Amino acid sequence: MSDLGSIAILLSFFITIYSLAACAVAARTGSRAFAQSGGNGIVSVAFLLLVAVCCLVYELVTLDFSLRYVALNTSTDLPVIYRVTALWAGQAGSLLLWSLILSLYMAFVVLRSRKKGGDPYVNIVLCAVSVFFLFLVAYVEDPFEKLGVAVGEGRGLNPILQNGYMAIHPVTLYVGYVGITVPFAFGIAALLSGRLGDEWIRNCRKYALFSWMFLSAGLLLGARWAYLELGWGGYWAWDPVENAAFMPWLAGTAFLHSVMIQERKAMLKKWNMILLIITFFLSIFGTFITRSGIVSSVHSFARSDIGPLFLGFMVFILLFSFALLVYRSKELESEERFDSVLSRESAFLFNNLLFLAAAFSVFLGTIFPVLSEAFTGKNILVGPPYFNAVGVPIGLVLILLMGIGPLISWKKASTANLKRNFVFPGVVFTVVLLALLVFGLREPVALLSFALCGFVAATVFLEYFRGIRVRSGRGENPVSAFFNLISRNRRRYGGYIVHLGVVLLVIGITASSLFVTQKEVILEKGDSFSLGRYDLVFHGVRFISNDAKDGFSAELSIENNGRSVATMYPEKNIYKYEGNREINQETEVALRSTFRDDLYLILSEVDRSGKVNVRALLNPMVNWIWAGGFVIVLGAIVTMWPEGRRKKESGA
Amino acid sequence: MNRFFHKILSGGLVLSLALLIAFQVNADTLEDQIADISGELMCPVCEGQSVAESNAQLARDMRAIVKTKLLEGHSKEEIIDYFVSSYGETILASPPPRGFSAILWLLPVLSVLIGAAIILRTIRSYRVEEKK
Repeated sequence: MSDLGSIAILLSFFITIYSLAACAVAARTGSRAFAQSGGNGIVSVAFLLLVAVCCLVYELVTLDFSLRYVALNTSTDLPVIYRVTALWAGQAGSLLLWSLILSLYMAFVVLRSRKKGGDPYVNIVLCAVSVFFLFLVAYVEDPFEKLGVAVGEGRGLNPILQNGYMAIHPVTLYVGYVGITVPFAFGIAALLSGRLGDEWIRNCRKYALFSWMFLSAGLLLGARWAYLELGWGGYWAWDPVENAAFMPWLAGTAFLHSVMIQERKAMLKKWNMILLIITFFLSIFGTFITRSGIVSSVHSFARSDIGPLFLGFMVFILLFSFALLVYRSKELESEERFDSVLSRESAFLFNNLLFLAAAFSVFLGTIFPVLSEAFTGKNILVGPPYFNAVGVPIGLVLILLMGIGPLISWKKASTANLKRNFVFPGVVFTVVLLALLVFGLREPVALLSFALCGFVAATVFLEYFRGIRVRSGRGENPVSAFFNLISRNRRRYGGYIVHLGVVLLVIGITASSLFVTQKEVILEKGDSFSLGRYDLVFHGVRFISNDAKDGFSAELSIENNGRSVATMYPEKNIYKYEGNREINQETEVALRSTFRDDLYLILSEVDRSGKVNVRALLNPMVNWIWAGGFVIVLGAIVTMWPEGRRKKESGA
Repeated sequence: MNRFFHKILSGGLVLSLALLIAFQVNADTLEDQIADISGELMCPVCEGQSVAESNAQLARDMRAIVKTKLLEGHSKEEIIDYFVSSYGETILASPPPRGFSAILWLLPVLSVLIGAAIILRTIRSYRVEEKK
């Protein structure tokens, strides 16, 4: 099987080079035959890589320890599901998966195109990116590399990766990450071919949104995994690898907003191109950070020495793209102008500025330790205090803009427009602020954040209310008016749903990061302590043991006003199989989750006499974050939903 | 009617700002203070986790030191300085805005200001052009 996989990878590499050449010929000569042949090559590569991935999965599941990758990432005690997910636990497998996802996107783009074989210019860019990754898989990080001597047992999978979320989080993130390549290819193709109308924007918008949705979901799934598995009470650590995925998200969000101006007003053409290049660059940079281990992080299980190649590739992308942009810059002049600071255009510009400033700050903070070491020789860390100090003000202004943007009029807002649209949200803002003050909230950031969330929710409500009122004025009942409203203008109202999801998310993040109640206690059997409204009683610790691990499980009963509400069992485990792993201990937190707050228990130490060291946290409103994530994905799906049914409706 | 709303709006804003300033009291519990201080220190033996977050023995000991020092009446700055003097500046979760690290703190602010200035200038230049 491993030979088959190797052959499939090598074939993919050479066929992609062929497709690149064929598409280049087609682009120069306009030959449909070459374009079609290049497109066929792309589709066949998708099939070949699927075969290669299946081969690797087969080897992982059957534990063929003669392969280096299998020996490094699995062991005989590993359940089958985690043998499959070991596909993306290590370097070579991740890169192979990356290539497969890219090739599937490419095949989709080719097959969906109206022209047979697809647009040769788009294919050139896609193939060029693909060739780089396939080169890495074929010659630098070969997943099918054989060990000189087969070993009897593998090194095993890091226990913190043995979690259900780890089975979906990386793939989701990759689909998002890799997807950015497609809009990038459309943009560069427009520059290459000189067809700079807004056609390329319309063609790539859905791909951009699709990968944005997966990136968002992947980030949140990763946060959820960190929250459940890493056992430190939080979900976001500003870890370099988290930042790596967050940066393209920020730049991509800016892009998704500013393309609307180009579509509507034919402005910002250069700017959108720059945003797209930055977004793609950041996605490659993210892969580089994750895969090279240049900055230390909790994700450091993914290190290796492919750094220089990535660095070269990144420099190439930047030089090539910007040279092309300069070459075409005369043809990218705006057709319309800005009129006023008080306009939707300018709200979008400030949105872009802040998203980019955020991406830049995160970028700076992520690479700064490397810079500091290079220039001053000093070893420093840049962590949460920096990112929070920079991120919170930017975030708050962005929320404000999220409320202003959709309601302020294009070109120039009149006083009438401002009054008509912003009195109600303004009142909601004030009422929320006053109400929270009356209830005793004194944290300025939280007050502002919640009040702004009220403001944004009010704008969304206002827009829906107006739309529904107009429709029900024509005799529709409000419920069907609601659904018709969405289906008639999916982009607009889907976008509002996304905004509502962001509101939920921001409420959850604000509450859970500013109002944590926590205690660290040493308990003997029978001891009790209180945390917020709960009383916790410790009933002793139990030794647990199975094939894979030894561990301790502490029993705590939770009471609220003398009423027992739950019994919780935080665990501390030591995995038996030592292998070559660095980490073989993990804490398994116990969690009682409601929309009001999460009770989060960590068993950090058990001593011989049965005394335990427990950290207990009461994290308010964490569930709002996950709920917000669901709403964001829902909104994105509504926005992307194909328009096919709309024609039927308007015919009826 | 609109004027009425405006009055409510501006009145509410002024009132809430006044309340905000009047009630700016720091009633942080001891646990909050420990979490706050240890959040600015990195756990030296664990990769990428702060002292506040880590479950390692050393991090727990360091939290205990923070607690003792707080009870002895030391300020946040004194406690952080204490850890810097025994572990060096690598213990800090983010570098202070001094020396080379000032770049880290200044650049984001500068980038926003410069960006905003560019946007405002662009819009204004168009308007001037139109008037001519």
